[in-house]
Amino acid sequence: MSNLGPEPRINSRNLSKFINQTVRLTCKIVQVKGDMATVEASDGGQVGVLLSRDMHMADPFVEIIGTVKEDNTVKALTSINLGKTLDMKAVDQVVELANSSKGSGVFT
Amino acid sequence: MADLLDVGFIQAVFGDGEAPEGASPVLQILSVKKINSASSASSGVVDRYRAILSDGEYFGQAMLAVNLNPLIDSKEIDKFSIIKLRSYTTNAVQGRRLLILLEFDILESVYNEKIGEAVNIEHAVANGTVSRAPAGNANAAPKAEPKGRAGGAGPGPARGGARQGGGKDVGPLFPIESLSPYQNKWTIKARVSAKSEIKHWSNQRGDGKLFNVTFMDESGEIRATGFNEQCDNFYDLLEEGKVYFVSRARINIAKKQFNNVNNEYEIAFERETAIEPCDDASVPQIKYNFKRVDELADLNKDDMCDIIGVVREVHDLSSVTSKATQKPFAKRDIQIVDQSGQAVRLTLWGKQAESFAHDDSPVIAFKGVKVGDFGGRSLSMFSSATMSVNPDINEAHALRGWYDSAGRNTQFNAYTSTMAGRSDNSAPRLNELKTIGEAKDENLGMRDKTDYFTTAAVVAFIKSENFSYPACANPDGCNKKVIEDGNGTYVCDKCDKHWPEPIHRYILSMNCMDHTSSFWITAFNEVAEKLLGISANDLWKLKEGGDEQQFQSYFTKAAGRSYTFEMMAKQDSYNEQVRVRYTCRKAGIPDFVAESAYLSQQIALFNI
Repeated sequence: MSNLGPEPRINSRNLSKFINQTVRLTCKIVQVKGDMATVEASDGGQVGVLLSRDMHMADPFVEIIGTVKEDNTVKALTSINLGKTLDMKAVDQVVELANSSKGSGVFT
Repeated sequence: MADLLDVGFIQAVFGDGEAPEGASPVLQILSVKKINSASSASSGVVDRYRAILSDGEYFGQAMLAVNLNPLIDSKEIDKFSIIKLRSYTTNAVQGRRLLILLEFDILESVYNEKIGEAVNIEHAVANGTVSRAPAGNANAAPKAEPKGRAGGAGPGPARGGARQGGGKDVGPLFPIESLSPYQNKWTIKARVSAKSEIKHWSNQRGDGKLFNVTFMDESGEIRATGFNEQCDNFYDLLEEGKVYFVSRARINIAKKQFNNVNNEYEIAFERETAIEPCDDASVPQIKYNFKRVDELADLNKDDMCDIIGVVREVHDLSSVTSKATQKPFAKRDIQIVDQSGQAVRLTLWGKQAESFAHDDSPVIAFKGVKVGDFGGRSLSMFSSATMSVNPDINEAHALRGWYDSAGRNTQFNAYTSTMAGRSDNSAPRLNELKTIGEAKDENLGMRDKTDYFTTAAVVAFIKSENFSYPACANPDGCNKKVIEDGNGTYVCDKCDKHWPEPIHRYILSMNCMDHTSSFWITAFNEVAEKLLGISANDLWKLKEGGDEQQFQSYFTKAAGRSYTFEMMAKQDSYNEQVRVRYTCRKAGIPDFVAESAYLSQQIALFNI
């Protein structure tokens, strides 16, 4: 299923709504162990991410594009580096708005 | 039979002015008389009864509280009745004491003889047979202060401000911080930190004179004013630096227009006000909260502050005519420096300006000076500001030492107009941002005065022709346009100097836009340099050098960036056409974090 717009942005709370869909997760990298990374989403919740072979995350803040698995982890397809500082509060506000009724039509 | 009555009571109350504690004396009423309304104590309509009260030894005048009137009307209380006084107060009227009966028990309603041989206490006192407190002077309020407490404990003498040493007779000591209009029985012990001259005024309502003092103690400070009569009474008594007890004055809300002392309230001296000198040196000396000269940039215009510094330069006395009153008054500028390496101008007014004769670079501490933005930052002695030359405090000694060794020879940075106000990291408040559309709709700059506003916009296009002008190279910051005079040198009209090379300064014309509208603005050197990232001079050389591509690249690179522009809009007539000219005074990097937060707030307010 491919939608024409960008993938919906999520945080740890709306993960479950998008099982098996491609999403964007703006997050901060907490830990990387091999090909599994633990990241902190914009609402503070932690998510497990399965990295792909050629992904290289240079900055502490990244946006991961991937699919949500049944177990609420994300299988990453690619990532975008977002730099060393990021206002996560603003990000979370965007995510919440996008997923709320107010935001429908704006982001989708 | 005098043992029925409590002998000694009358003498105690009328003589020493001190009522015995916990007394519920048994007294006899010798006579009762109705007073006509014309007398001083009556409220005008109600009957008041006067009684002569005896304790067997002396008798004195008493008044009955109005609620007791029925007892007299019903004849329960009459001549020779014996009462046990439960609650009373005393009052001083025209130098005589009166006992006010508030509550009593009737022991014997009917009694048919006078007990004892009471003598009039007034005569005894006058003869000196009975000691008496110094008579209540004009400070005594004629109205009774009913402080009678049920249970009979004596309320103490009328608080007439009788000048007894040590302020014994006045209300308890309050810290200045706790003064409020809801209390009227207070005393403060405070030092006079500032005293003004006597000022005269006359307006349609009349004329008069007044003076102000500022009192301070450990808790805070408060301003006091004495008008007319109190002006005369207290002006000579109060001296700067000395400590006084002040009581029985009125507390009002402070008039911030005249009073910039840090207190919501202010004191007004009244006729009953009592001021007594006090020897207590425990009241602290003037408290300062010094800012360094370079910290002044953080303060806003019209803020008050304290500052200490060395006087580096004293300018001449000049005179300014006030537009409001058409009166000339003296002013003098001095330059203050401190260890921060920054210099600032401070203006003295009136007498202080005239009498300032300190040529020896003294250390001066200023309290309560107002911050202005003339020439970047400046200071002004407000009417209640004080200055203290070479004060005996640590900061002063430190300054003296520093100046004598190093400071004297240091080059100081003076505040210039380009260092206007806030530093870069204090962004303008977001709700003050206007969109370009709003600025145009509101016709900003189209009225005669200059309008200032701030807008967040994107640089759309910068004109690369005529981006600069050759300016006078005078290091003092002349910046006037110089003209090439044929010999290959450039001459400046203002400085009357020739320069081989001018310094180019920006006069950048850019088109900025936001989601509402767009406009053309002019940016001068400082702003333009920031936007383009290269000095005008260097850019000029680049252009002259022929590298057109490099030259243009600067302009294209700068476009497309967003900034928060502080704008000035003014009317200009240009070839007979009147237009609004928008000048950018400052361009700051927008604070995205704050703006996002603001936007989400706005969105939350939408009720979709």
